[in-house]
Amino acid sequence: MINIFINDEIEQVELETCLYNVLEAYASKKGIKLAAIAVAVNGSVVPRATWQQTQCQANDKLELFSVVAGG
Amino acid sequence: MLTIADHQFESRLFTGTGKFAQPETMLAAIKASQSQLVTLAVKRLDLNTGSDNILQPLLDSGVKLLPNTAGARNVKEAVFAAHLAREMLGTNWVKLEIHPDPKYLMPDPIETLEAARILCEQGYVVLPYVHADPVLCRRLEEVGCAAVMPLGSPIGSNQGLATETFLKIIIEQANVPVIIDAGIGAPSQATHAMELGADAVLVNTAIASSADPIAMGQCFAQAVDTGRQAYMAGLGLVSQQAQHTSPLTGFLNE
Repeated sequence: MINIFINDEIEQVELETCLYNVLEAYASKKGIKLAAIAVAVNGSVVPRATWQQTQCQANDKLELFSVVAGG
Repeated sequence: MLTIADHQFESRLFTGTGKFAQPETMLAAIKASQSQLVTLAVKRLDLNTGSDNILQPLLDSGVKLLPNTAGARNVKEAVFAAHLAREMLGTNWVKLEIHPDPKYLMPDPIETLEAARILCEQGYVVLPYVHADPVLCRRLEEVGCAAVMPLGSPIGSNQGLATETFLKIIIEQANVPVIIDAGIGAPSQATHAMELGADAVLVNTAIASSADPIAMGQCFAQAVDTGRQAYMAGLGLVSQQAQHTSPLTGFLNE
């Protein structure tokens, strides 16, 4: 297992887990929908199309974003 | 018909989604306003408060979404926000706004110009929110912005067109649509903006903070329409002296 951070919270994931699986597991645990979420890993946006090819590394910092009301 | 980057809009009123008491009111007010371009913001997911559940109803309503970069304090953060928004919404349109000062929310012209240059190069349709600075607006046009969005007065202040003199210069010089954004607090001010020749206005607070946002949305739709029609019809000249509208001779056969 390795430690990663999702929005500053520590999560433990299996070694060599792809970003897609990490996000799927996190979303179902937290009850959120991935449809309208964008993800940055260590400060760079990772396109949805590459989630399955992106492997999480120890201490990766994942940030999840969504849209909110605004002017 | 207003065209921005090959997209046509029948309505020249753009609206924001912030500050509404209820999402349902926001959706109804936008519908009443007939707006076809609606702004949204990007925020880090807060699992405690949950996300605003507004995206799907907005998509269902058929409006075009314009994500903004509010919260960005510099080029890097604004470009990052644009990338996130494109990923989330599948749009390359972005309302570029960089205002590091929380008191007056004045847009930073230097950071904005550089971020606009980068995002235009990356293929974004960039609509920058800026001070009513005619020189800056020309520079933004030169780097490829699809429109410019000069402010009437500080965001959410409802002070109207405090920058009118400079808005006129921007409108005269611009080769891209001019959208007057921020500060428009009353339908009459929206009418005035359109009479000046603005291509569109963006209104949020004035509708959202009204006691009846739905009625106010409708008022703004009418106001923008009237102002545009008046501009197209051509306003009469302003003169210092009276110019009679009735014959001053011929009464009582004199």
